[in-house]
Amino acid sequence: MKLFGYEFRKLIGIRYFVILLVLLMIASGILCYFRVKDEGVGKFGANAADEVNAFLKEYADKPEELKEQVQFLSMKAGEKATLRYEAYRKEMLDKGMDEESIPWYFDALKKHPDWAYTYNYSETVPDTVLAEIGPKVLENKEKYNSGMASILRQAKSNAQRLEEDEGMDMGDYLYYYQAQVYLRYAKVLENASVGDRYVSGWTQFFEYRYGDFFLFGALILLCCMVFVPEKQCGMLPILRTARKGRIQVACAKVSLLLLSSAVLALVFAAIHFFVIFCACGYSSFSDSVQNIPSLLLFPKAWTMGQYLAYSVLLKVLAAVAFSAAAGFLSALTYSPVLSYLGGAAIFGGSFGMSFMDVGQHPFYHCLNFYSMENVAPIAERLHMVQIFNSGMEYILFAPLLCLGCTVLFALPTVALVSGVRMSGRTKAAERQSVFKRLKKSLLTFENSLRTKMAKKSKEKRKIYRVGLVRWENRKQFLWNVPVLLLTAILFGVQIFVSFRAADNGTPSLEYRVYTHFLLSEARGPYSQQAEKYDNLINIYTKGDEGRQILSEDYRDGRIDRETYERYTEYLRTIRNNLGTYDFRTAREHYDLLKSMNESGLDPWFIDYLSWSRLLTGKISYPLFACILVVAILTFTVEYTGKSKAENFANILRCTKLGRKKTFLAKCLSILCICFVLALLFWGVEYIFMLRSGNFPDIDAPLCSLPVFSQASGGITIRQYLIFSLAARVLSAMLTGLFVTAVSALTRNIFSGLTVSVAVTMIPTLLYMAGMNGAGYISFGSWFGVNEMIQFSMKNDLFGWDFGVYALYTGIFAAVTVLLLAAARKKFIK
Amino acid sequence: MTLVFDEVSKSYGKTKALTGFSAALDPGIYALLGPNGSGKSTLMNILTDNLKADSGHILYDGEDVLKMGVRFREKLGFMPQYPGMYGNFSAEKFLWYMATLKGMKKEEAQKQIPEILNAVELSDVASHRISSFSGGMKQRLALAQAVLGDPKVLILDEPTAGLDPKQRIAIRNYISRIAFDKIVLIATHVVSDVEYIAKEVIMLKKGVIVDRAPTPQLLCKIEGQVWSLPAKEEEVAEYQRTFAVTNILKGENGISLRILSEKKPAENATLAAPTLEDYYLHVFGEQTGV
Ligand SMILES: Nc1ncnc2c1ncn2[C@@H]1O[C@H](COP(=O)(O)OP(=O)(O)O)[C@@H](O)[C@H]1O
Ligand SMILES: [Mg+2]
Repeated sequence: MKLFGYEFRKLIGIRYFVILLVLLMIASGILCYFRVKDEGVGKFGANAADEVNAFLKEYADKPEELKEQVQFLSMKAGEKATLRYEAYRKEMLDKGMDEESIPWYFDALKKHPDWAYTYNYSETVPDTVLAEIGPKVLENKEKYNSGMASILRQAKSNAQRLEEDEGMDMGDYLYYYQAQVYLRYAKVLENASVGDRYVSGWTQFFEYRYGDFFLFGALILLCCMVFVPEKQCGMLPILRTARKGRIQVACAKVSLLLLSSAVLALVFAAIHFFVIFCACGYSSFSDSVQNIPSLLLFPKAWTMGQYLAYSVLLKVLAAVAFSAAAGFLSALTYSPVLSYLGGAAIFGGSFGMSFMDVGQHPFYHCLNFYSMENVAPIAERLHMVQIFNSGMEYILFAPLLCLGCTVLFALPTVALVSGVRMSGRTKAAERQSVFKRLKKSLLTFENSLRTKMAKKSKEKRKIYRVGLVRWENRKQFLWNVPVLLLTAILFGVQIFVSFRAADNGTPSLEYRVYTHFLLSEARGPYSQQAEKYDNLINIYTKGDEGRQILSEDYRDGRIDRETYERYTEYLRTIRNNLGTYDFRTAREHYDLLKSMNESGLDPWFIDYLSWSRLLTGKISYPLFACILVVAILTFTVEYTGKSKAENFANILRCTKLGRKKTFLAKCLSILCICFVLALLFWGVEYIFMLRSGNFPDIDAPLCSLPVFSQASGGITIRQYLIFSLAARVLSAMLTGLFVTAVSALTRNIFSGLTVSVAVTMIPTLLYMAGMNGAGYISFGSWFGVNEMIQFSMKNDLFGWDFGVYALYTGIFAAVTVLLLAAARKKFIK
Repeated sequence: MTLVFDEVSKSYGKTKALTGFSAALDPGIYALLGPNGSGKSTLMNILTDNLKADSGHILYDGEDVLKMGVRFREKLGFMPQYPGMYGNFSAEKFLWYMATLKGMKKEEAQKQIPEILNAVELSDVASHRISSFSGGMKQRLALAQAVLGDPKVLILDEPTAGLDPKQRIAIRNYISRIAFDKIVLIATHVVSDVEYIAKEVIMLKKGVIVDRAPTPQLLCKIEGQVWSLPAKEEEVAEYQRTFAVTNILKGENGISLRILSEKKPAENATLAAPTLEDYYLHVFGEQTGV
């Protein structure tokens, strides 16, 4: 217990860890608030929910009347809003505003939602809101009733069939399952009440998922903090020789890890609960959980309170199991970078699994650390795990799985940390010793090899005199085996990802038809090809009539014989193979180009899909990770000593070139490395894309691509391609410099990595989570360039396509330069 | 070529690590002698600008070394107390890197590196990774990098810590061989390392210079205070309580004590020739608890 206390104090003593945790919590709370603030009626006042409920109660058994009422309310609201708008317009005109600059009706309404309040029914809740909620709740109720009925019916008939045809009884799993489903749902139907009341807050709480990024970020950080620092400061050997330094310390550490994870999970849950309480407010704890749309067919007659307790418990268990696994990796490698990446990989894997199709892979989908406590999809119809001939429900199985996982990883971790050499030594400890022996023999072998090689080349002894930049390169990259390995792995991931992306993007049949029959004839500038294009669509879609048109054209000499025959052939193919084919895509494209042409541009008819795929690639996470790892080493390599006195920096700083020149060399080195890495990683993406399609018309204007339809004419695809590639390389290099500056300022891999990831990824996360404003500061969009440029074109800052992009780049560069200046001052002072 | 310390002071919070340290050094070996925590490393870190002094200056040929910056550092060779080096470099490549950092010419480095590796007995393992080195090997490599480039000011913080006796002697001799045109400052608490090679000994106690003189002069101060005394085993404890016993020698004919005392400790005591170690104990006696 005492030891546990000391371990706890050690952990709390790492100041930046605590600070980062708090920051993560704050960020999580803020994000959650922005996500849910516009949902629910809580914002209309404390008793808004009651008023909604009164409204619902009045129409509980009269859905038809409700519908009428809703229509009536909407109409009224509209009328009122119009009146208010007119008044507003008049006021503005009186104030001397000219007609043009007064906002339009809908824009004005967006700014003044209260115009639509009619106060017909409720004091506080706008009628429009009532009109929205009412039908939804009713619909839910209907869905619930019919869903329940169908499940019951089906379970019953299935069970009957099994009994009669196959002679099964409760001893057989299949029969047992159907029987269980029937019993459970019958019970739910009896006890739950759905659709009578408005449920606020709960849906938001149970369906809010972005908090997990912060929670798991905190957990990964925690896992890195428990074992690795001990090794880094050289305490490990001392600790291990103390009487209680092995098993006891290991137990204390592991239990601290697990307990802190549980506490963190609870704290994050509490934060979200509280934030949603402030934003939406909760309806009663005793409402049936089936009122939440995604839990409509939940097989237990639970209340919100019960479900809350269960899902928080499951989240806590999942967090503990996750920490056990990530902590195991950390104890196995004792390396800061690998601990980080290991944790990130486990989380990434879980996150990936949560995207799997529920129907096909229910267990992967749900039994992962990320979406585990989100029981909704799998609990439906009582998903059970078959154990021998009876079943275990997921609801019971999931916690057991977590506990099992925790034990499975925690025990070897204890063994690893304590380095047990007892009679009953565990497997993991053995493996570690093998690992160590292997490393030792490898080192001896390497040394003997090096000696031999050195002897051979004794006469022409190698000269290593190279510039400082190359020495820096070697330190952080070329001679750093772990980093090289990691780069190789990440590069492999990049190849895989690019391959998949290029593969997945196979155009649809519709699109292939478009390119084949239309583009092959009418590609080129709109101004030249529009008529032909339009004509072709006409011919192809009109079947026999089309043929008529063709022959007329031929007769009147508008097309020559060869063309006539070719078109006729196309027409036949289309009719034979596609039946009635409406060329909708082609038409839409035509319309788009037409409207652009009217606004003074001259876009081309081109193979826009292939081009779009090539020109809209997003951030490459492998590249980002690689740059992060290499760049964080730029300065931290000088501060790897067990204490301040043992850093190489002490020696470095008192050499002739060890300060200013070395600082410069380090910056140049990381620039070179990032340049090469960027070319390599992005190159892979372009190569795979280019292989998967063909790309003529490189000189078409960029606005020919629908995704870039906001581009203002001047720039061609070729120019854009060159520009975006250059910008991507530049982004990579700037990012490298930024992380380098952070590395110089923090001098510590942990805090450096965390700060870099937090600064870059939190805005990205906010953006992904739907805070559109965060798009302006989304590092991810900027790093991948294309997304940010689309954004930039949309916003047209300073009347310039690249305004937002340039602004972001400028600010990022300025911040980097400032940080670098601070870092330089700190380094050379 | 002179190095002048002018009232250099440094304190960490309340602990005064260095108080008004003043000294002027010409070429030659200077020993900075003092127990742990007396401020030796602090002084060296200030001299190498790894630490800022609270007050005072260090002048090289009359110019402030902080102002000189690079011009001073190019004359500097520094071996810190706990040298940290890149584990993934080999010893030889590491020295080449240091040669680059020190701005040495290629030919010069090519000549010096094998020589120095030889002197510190690392030639055989020159191509091995530093991470596979033992503590003593790392220590010697750290010395090698300090000596590399023929620095005019050589600063060694406990250079022989962790070395075996033979290596100690080899290193000692090597240092004295290369020291003739340099200012060499060696911090140590191991008296025998510097006893015969130091031109001058600076005694440091809790950050204050308590004595500064060539070894013979120091020894003069305790001339006639060092006694040799044969004793029985049961008397040893008694003597230790009443006198400063600097050594207990078990010979064939019983035990012989070495005692520091102004008065003759016993009838049968005989005067002995003082050594630097005796003086060290004389100065730091009560502090180190002899
Ligand atoms: N970073 C530091 N923080 C606080 N006190 C320190 C620090 N470094 C050294 N000291 C104190 O300064 C004094 C001198 O230390 P140091 O110069 O390392 O002595 P020496 O090298 O002679 O053993 C000691 O009392 C030590 O406790
Ligand atoms: Mg010291």
